[in-house]
Formats: sequence, C-alpha cells, structure tokens
Amino acid sequence: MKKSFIKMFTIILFISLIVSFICYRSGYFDKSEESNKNEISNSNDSIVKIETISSSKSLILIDHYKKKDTTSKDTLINIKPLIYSSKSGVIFSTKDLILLNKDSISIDSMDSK
Amino acid sequence: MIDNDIWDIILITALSYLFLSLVFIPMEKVFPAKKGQKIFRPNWFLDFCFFIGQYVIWSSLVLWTINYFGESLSGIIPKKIQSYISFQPLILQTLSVLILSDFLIYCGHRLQHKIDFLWRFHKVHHSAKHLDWLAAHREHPLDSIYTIGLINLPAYILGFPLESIAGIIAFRGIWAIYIHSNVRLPLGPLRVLIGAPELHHWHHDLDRRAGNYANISPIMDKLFGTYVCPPNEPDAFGIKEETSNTYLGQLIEPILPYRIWQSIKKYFN
Repeated sequence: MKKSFIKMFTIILFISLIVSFICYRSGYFDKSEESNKNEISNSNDSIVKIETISSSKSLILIDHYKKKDTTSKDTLINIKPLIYSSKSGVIFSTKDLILLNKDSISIDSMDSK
Repeated sequence: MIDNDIWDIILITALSYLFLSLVFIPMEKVFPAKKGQKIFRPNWFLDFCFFIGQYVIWSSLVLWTINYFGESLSGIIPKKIQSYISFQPLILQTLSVLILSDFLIYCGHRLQHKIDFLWRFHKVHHSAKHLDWLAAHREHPLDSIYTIGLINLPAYILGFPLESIAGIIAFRGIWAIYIHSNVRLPLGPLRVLIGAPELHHWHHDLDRRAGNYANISPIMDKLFGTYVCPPNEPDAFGIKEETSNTYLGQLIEPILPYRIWQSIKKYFN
C-alpha cells in the first residue's frame, strides 16, 4: 500500500514538473502579465512602459499567441529556439534569468505607483 | 557587468541542476533500471564537469555557431517557396519539419556510428558506463554542433518559425534527458511514438552498432529495421575502445591525431 502510494506520488510529481516546464516554455505563465499589459495600455501609459512589462516567454513566443505585434521592440525577439538532439538539452538559459529580473523590476515599479 | 554575467550563468546552471534533479532523481530511485546504482556512482564527477561545461561554455558557443550558419542556410530555398510553405496549415508545417528533422538526425546518427571520423567525437557520449540523467550531458561540443545542426536544418531551410512550437521543443529537450535516466517504466505502445529509456539504454550497449538510432521517437528505427527492444536491460554500457577518463582528455582526444594523443598520454603517465 505504502509502496504503491510512493510510486503514484513519484509519477504525479514527474508528470507535473514536465508539464509545468512545457507550459513555462510555451508562455502559459504569462497570461496574468498579459492582462496587466491591457490594463496599462487602457490607462494611456506610454508604449515604453508597456514594453517593460513584457516577459521573456511572451516575447520569444510572440508568434505563438499574439500573432504579429508590431509594438513590441524588445531585442530578445530575435532569439530562436532550437530542437535539441537525442542527447541533453539546455533547460534554462541566462536569457531566462535576465528577463525574469527585468520582469520583477517592472512589477516592482508598477506596485510602487 | 562581466561579474554579473558570470553570476547569472552560475545561478542558471545551479537552477537547472536542481530542477533536473527534482524531476529525475525520484524516478530513478523508485523505478530503477539498474537497481542499486547510486546518485554519486563512479564517474559522477566527470559527467558533472560535462554538465557545467555545457551550461557555462559550450551551449552558447554551439547555439551561436548554429544560428550563424543557419541564417545563411535560410536563403537556399527561394523566398517564394518559403512563403508558399508558410501559408500551409501550422500542423502540416510542424509535422513536415519534425519528420524531416527526425529523418536527417536518424541518418546522421547512423553515420556517426559507422564512420570512424564521426565516431571519434560521438564516442565521448557513449563512453559513459553508468547511465542516468546526468550522463546525458556527456557530449563533445563538436558532436553537439553536428547533431543540433542536422536536426534544425529543415527548419532553417524551410524558414519555419520554431518559436511557434516551443512547447514541443521543450518536451523533446527534457525527454532527451529522460531516455538516458536510470529508469525502467514501460510506456506500452506509447514508446513507439515518444521513445523510452529501455530503448535508448540498448543504444548505449557495448556493441557500437546496437541499433535504436532514432531521435526520441523510434519511428525511423521501425521504418529502417534498426529497432531493438529486448525485455531486459543491457549487461553493460559504454564502448569497447580505451578512452580518457578525464574531462579535458575527453575534449582533446577526438581532435588530435592518434599518435599525438598517445604521446601526450605517455608524457602525463
């Protein structure tokens, strides 16, 4: 009984982590930021401020769910993901960290308003 | 500024290591393929060096090289044809790119096992005598350029935006590590579609031409008759040739002529 519980828990943990990772890479965790973005654009803020809220995922995957957004000018739009071979793939890159930092700074500046 | 960059790289490497440990170590403990294999098994440190090397030095170099040459490859097919392809349904484009990529990497991988010059670099990956998620990272950087270059070639030539299938790419990336892990959890018929550790472990058998050359999904192996799936695990992993047991040795050995490498080895012994 205890063994099958551990087995079940391990499989659930494994699947959840993989699904979360795929969602993260696909940009699904950005949806809350998308809504923030709309609120700000409605309040007549400048375009520059809207851009600072953009996160790595939404910009990299801009074609995925935003089609062609000509207002975004983040330099990281040029990042091209690559298919990894049957060996290892890099899970996170420094760009994730840079953009995560950028996101947190943007959120902090929004909070302070 | 440089200090900050180095700090970021260290942080991201540590984060990736922790995340991957959390994903794979519980699976390796609960569903082990080789029972009794410890986390810190022999040559753990060598594979750890490859892991660090990949994140800190080689991944950016490999990506830069592939992007550099990839941009020029995108001009091979006329823009008219590229735009015609881009008007096709996304699902059709995705399937074409993935099937072409899998076909190319299947052929390229078979050549790596057949042609001695390519095997020199590829054998670094196969020299691992203990397979787990960390051993997946044992790869010569020139081998990475060859394989990642080949697999991305169709997307570059067809001008396909890989950004639009980031989820699939992420899945393939993490699954590539999973198939090396010390896990035996049969997937049933699903393994023909997405691959499984029990198949890839046989690819790492001592026999250089053991089969299962396909990338992740074994469909190409099924098509070309190289699919191998015995009910048990291989007795031993690794290669029959003698090879260096150090990180620097494994990086340098493939790029040097055999005689020079032997003299260097003699000098240090």
